[in-house]
Amino acid sequence: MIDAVTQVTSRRRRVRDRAVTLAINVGGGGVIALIVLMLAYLLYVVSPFAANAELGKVLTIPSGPDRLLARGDGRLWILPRAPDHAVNQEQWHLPVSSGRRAVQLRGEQVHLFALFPRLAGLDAELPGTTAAQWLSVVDTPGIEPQTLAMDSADDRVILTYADRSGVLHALSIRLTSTAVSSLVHHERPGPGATAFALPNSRSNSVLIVHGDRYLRWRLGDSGSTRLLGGQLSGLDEPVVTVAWGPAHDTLLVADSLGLLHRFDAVRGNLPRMGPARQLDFVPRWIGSERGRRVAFAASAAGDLSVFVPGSDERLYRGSLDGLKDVAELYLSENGRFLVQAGEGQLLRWKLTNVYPETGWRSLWQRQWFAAYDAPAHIWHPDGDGVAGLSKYSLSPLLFGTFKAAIYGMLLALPIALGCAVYVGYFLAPRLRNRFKPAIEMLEAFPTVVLGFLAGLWLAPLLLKYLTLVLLLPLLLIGAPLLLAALHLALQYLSPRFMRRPPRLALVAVVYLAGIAGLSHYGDALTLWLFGGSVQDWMWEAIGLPYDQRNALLVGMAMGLAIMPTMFTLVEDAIHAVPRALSDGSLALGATRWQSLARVVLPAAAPAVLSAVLIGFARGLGETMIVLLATGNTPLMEPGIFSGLQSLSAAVAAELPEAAVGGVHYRLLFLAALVLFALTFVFNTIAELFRQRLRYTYEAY
Amino acid sequence: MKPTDVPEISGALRAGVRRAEPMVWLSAGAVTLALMLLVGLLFLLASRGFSHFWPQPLILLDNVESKAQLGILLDREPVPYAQDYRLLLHLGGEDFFDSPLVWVEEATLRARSTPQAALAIERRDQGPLFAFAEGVDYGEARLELSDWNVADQVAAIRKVRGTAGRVYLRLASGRPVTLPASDLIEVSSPNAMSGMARIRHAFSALGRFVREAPRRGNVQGGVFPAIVGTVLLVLLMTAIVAPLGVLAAVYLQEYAQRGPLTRMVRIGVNNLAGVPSIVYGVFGLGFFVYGLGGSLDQLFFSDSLPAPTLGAPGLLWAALTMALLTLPVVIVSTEEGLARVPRNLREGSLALGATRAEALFRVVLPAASQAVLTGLILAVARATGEVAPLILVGVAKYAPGLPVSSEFPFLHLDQQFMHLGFYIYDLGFQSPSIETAEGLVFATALLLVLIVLLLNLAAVMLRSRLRNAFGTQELR
Repeated sequence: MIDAVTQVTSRRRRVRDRAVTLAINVGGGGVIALIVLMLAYLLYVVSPFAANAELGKVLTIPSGPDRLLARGDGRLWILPRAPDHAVNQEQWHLPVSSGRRAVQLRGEQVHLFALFPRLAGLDAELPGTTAAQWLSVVDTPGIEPQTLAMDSADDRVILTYADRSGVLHALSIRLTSTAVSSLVHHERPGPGATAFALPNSRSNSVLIVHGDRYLRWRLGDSGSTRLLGGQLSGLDEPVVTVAWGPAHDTLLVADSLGLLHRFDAVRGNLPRMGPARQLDFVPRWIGSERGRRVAFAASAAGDLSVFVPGSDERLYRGSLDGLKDVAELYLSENGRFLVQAGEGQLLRWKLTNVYPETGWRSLWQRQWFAAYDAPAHIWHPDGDGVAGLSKYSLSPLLFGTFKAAIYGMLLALPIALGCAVYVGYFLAPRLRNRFKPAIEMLEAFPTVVLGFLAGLWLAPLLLKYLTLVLLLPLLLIGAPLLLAALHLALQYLSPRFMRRPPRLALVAVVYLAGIAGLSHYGDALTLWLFGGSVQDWMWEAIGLPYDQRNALLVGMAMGLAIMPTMFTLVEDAIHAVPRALSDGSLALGATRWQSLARVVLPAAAPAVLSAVLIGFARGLGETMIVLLATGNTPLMEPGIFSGLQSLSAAVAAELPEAAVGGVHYRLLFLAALVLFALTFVFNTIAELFRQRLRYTYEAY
Repeated sequence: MKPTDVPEISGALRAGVRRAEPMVWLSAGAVTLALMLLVGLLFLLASRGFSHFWPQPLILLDNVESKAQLGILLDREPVPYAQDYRLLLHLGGEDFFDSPLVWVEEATLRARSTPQAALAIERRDQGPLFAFAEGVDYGEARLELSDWNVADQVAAIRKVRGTAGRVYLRLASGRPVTLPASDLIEVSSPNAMSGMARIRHAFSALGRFVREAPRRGNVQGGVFPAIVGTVLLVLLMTAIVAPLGVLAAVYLQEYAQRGPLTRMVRIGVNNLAGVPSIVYGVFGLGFFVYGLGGSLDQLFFSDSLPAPTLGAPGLLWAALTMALLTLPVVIVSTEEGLARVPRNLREGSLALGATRAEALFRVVLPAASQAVLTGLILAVARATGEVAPLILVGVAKYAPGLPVSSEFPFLHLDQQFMHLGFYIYDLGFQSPSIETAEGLVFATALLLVLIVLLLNLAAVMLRSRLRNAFGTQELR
């Protein structure tokens, strides 16, 4: 920067100079600020993940226990005490004045059932319509229900209840018809044990748990069938309460020590899922959401805990004051509202719990999901398997990102180093000026083209000529060594023979011949080495599966993409090492390779390191190649023949479809932020290395 | 240590190995491999790309099992676990066959020929059709063609294009097919063509590829809208990035106080060049499209909400995102150019009484103009080949209209557009019938590579001219 030294006399010129200075300072600073803005914006989008769950009391209404009807969004509807009111918008006829109720809060739809002395159901569209409709009234004389549970999905409602003698009853009701199928389960648990009946309307079945034994019933229109039963493993203490886990895919069982056990309800034999989780208290009530992996537990004293089953994540811990009977606790299906019917009053709680599944542990640690054999890192934003809950673990994506970059690096680094050494040190300056730009031209291939070639041209070829590709490294390394030996032998015979061998041309000829030979005898070689098919051999001999779009393919394309960048950086560094250094070492009797390896390369080492880091960072962020050349399977397998999905590919493939502001959307922003941070760290280290290099040369 | 024979032998061996210079040979191998890859890739793209335009011979296979089949030979490979080869034949005409691709085992073949009379017909709404001519109808009466020679058949069928007539054809299986003239785009007889006719046909196909819009879910036709979209995007991006990049570079190099902060900013800018392009896309989608576009919609286009006007991916946001992506390239290159401007030029102009602004605009920037240009060309080259951010911020699989039109406001910044790179991605990744569209993808890839290659070459040449003009000077 040079400051103006002369005094500028013309006012116009002075003003103009000041204006330009201002414009450049503001504009230039603005552009720099824009860059900071980018990071800030990504952080801003991701920041809601850090928010904790909160519970707030919304409403308290003095009421009797029989005056409750609630909507999915938590608005309360008060029912009059008078038993024979006409049905209209706000006042429904309730045929009972006391007894147990089951309420299911499903958005605009309310299902309410009341029991004793008669069973009656109400199906209401809220608000504003008079579509409330009595479903069916079933006389259940002489039964005094102790418990009542309900489950409804689509047009089916299943109710289970126990009478005073402990006999379990289940009713399956089709709302569209009046068909009712029922079941009476006469087996009673032993003295002191309670039996629990869990209805599942989606599969129209009932799961009965008493003690550590379970039994499944299927409720058909033409009678119910008894399905498999068995024992729940690992239950040492008496069972206190049981409930369906989120989306009915697991069974949650709490024992008297406050341990919560999980069983896989997708499978018929209810296998245990991992060790029990110690809750903060002995729960009397467990509930869970339908669409997210969030569970609730409440103790008799009103303690409330909200947690992610299957992970160590606890979302909320607090208490519900005034809770007398956990049977009067209702959870809305989306988990946003808890309604508590205490004596003489109704309480409605609102739970702010927007991103329960994106805690640090849920994102990076293993979790055991239903229908899986073991805890695993799963990225399935749209859900998979029977229950279809979203599974958001970023670990497989991060793993895939590094896997792709590492395989790319393994292939790119030797080639880039070899090229840089040869072009920068051994090649005559005249030839260097031609070969360097030629190799750099490889950078001109857009990655989408490389990805397309890898995924659609190379993948079928690789399937066919895998032997050739596996033998290719042997050829690529062996051929130059063979030529070196041959050259040496010929020089022994005639010392003046080929003092300067045309290395590139010779190697090219041998390479071409080798590739032609390999492809001609490829089939025979495959037959001889692997007995027909490499893929079959790998599967049978090593148990290695072969994905058609695999890491080898990505590595090849990625290697090609990052090789030119690394080549340029290393070559520049090698070329910049003062010639006097290596000349000195040559004069002292070192061979060319010795002076390169012991003098030039150490001097250029920081640049080599920085090139490696920059190349690696490029590999981490590469999108199109990974997107096109892999099957985008978020696996955690390090194998060279298995597929992968990277953070960048997930973002490119899934962000256009993700709902703006939703969990998936923000998670993909988090993925972008992780990529940003990773590459920024790598590039900064690389930059620091390069600056050190600059200081090194200042000595000369 | 006792002297033995072993060290001598190993010493001789070591000396021999040293003289043979195996590592030099190995590094020569790496260079050879890199060059072979470059040539191989170019050759692959060129041969596959051009063969898309080259008339492919039509092969008539007479099979033992089924009736005769006429088509283009795509592949020949050994049948797994059998001493036989099989042929992959592209039959065309998805509307007449269960699958346009069939495998035929050579052992089952009775006869194989390349009949002169076989015609390749390109249709508007369906895939190609390979058949024999039966007759033609110009709107009055059917004219029998079966006895004519092929050249006259082709000429007669070509004449029917644009009329209300129809063409009568016969498939290899003997099934008659009637084709309305409006469905007919081009007819040729690849087996009967002379060398010159083939070349002419290839060039006309190339011309249509560049001029025409895609048809049939992008698997047929040309890439004109994609070319227009790519060019327009790059032009807009350049218009945005050029002033911003130069401004930032001038600020950093000429105006900002030197110190640790400037150094940090410079490292930051250098690093941004290494931030993955998809991250820019994510930022563009969140900040530009939903943030900026969404707010602008609420301010100015609230009538049409909730349908977004600017709050949806479009050309403007794509250009802005790409400008942000290429900003570091332009800044770094311009800074390099500014640093190379000899100090005495600057000092001379200041000594003669110029203000800093005058010195900047009259002396320094003109001297650095080639560096700015190099930076811009490199930016354009990077942006042309970049697809990942575009997937998020504005590119479309198929855009019904071009983003430029004769209707006000002529340049439709809010519209989605087509792009060469995305076209490749879409066809390669999501097309159901990739085998039949492969030629088209290769041709598009070749076009894209050539454009980027030319831009890179231009940048390299400009840069070397620049170095010769001012010599090398380190960045301060």
